[in-house]
Amino acid sequence: MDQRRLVDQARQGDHDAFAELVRGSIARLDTAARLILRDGELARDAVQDGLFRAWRDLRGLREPDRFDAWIYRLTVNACLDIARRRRRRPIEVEIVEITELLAPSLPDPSDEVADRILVDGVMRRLDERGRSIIVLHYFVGLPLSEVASCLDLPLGTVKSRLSRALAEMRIDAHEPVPLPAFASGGSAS
Amino acid sequence: MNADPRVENRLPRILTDLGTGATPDYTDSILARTAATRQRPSWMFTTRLLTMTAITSPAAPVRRVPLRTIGIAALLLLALAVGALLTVGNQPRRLPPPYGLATTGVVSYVNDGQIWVAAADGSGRRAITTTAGVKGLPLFSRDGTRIAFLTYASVFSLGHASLSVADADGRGSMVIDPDAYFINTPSWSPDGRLLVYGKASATDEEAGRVYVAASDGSSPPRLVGDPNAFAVAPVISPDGTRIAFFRFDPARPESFQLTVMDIDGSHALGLSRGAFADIGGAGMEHGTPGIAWSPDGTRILFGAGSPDDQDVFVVDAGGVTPERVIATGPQLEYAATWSPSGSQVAFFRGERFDFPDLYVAAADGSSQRRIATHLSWFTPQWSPDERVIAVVPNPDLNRGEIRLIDLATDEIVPIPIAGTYIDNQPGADTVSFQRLPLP
Repeated sequence: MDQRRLVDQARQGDHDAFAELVRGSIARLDTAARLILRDGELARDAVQDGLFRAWRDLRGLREPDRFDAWIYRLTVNACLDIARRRRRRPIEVEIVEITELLAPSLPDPSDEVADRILVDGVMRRLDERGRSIIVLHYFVGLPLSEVASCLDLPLGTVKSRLSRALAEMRIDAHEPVPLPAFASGGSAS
Repeated sequence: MNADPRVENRLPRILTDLGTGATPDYTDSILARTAATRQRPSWMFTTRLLTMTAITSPAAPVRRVPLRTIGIAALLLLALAVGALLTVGNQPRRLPPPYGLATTGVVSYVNDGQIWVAAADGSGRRAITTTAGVKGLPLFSRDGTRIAFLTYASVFSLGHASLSVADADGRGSMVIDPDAYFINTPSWSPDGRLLVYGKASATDEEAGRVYVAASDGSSPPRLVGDPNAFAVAPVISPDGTRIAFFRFDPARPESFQLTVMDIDGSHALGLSRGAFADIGGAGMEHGTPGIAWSPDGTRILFGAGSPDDQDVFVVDAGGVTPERVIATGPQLEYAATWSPSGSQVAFFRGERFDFPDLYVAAADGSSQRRIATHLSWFTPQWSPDERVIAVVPNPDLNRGEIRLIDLATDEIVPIPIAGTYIDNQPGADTVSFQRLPLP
């Protein structure tokens, strides 16, 4: 069944339809939350909170076609809430060790590992909001204008923070990046 | 900056590798939790339901306004108003009890899921409820002898609560509405016999309606007003005979209208000349009703406008003169409330969904003064002696306290609070002062 129909049914209170939507998206939501919070346990809390809010507030979703972007937005905001509330808690890093990522099938392992070390290092140095910008743009695939809206930041701030992070990664920020398919379209509620 | 687009092109894959852990094993637990939770009714999302077409379409042509006639009428009204002001302004303000200035008793608040009280200097903190369930929205009766409050089964029973009334010390608690689903803006009648509030029924969750309940539980809550009309944020008048509320039609983008009706639901009269796209600032669930009767019952404050720009208006409660703006600006002004004597108003100002600042001004909106910043959305509460305003700082900053601000000295009395803040439990961050007779 297509996602739009599932969303419509879930908005009518069909919990089975919502369950199907959750099963199709929870793995990537979990990844996004881990990248932002760098803690598997906190990421689980954030995803649970985001999905709970999604079910509770589904009738307020103005554009059902934007369900994917919407639940990422809810999850990222849940990540930021958790980060604010639990800032004093020691961080338990569960990020996969760089050496474990060295798969034999990669075309140029040395380049791949170097890139990952670089990205991992930059992500460590960023705060949760900075990591959210990277995750929403490059992992989720939202346009920068929507990232700004999602994080309640001016577009200029998003661009400058992204530019600084990319500079650390030795990346030309002006190079276009292919984005996932659902990144195009209007804004989510 | 070195240009090396290779990494950026691979960033989506690198991020996936860096963030991927074991397959989430908590899918079933989150689904069990959502299955046990009702979705919020559509009327809680009135602004989000507006389509882009509705927002961006040009306004319908407006009929030509007879400016000369209106101008003459306005001049006549102005002359009448000035005359009335000159006459009334020199009279000492006498407000019949239980309105007007009074002695400040204790302040009630929610701490760790129970109702607590403390003296206005922060001393004598103690719980007055200890029963099961998470409490919210404490509200003293006008004579200070009783207190109404909500009880949620748990912090996750969002929206689902029962409404109870107890003596001011918490004893003798009795449930008067077991189905206070998404309750908003309860208010006591001046004689303490009735509670008026808005809620959605669990069997009709799309609808916001006005209910009246006997505070001694002698009769079940009764829906009043047009059963086919949506109504939110009802507030009873100081003489106990009328109810002001926002009537709206969810099918129309701009239809919030301040309306008054008799306590039995009859004689509904639209007061605001304009109909508005949005009300309530940050959201009804946070207790920002946007409607406040002046203590003498002659005027009504309300906040309304668009989702991104609301203003505070005052309107004659008899419907004679149109509303006029008393607080405006590029941000949202909302949650306005009168001081006990009616000589001042307090209101919030801030961006939509941002944590607002508290302002106090003269009753006509002049002499605005910023009192506090970055607050929770609960309507500011005046102490009965008009010396103190209670606010709750932004809960996201986890400050864990209520602040009683002395308006003369800016001195702050902090009262610590604990417990989980749930943004969809009406009343988790509310405060109510006990009003006692003047000596």
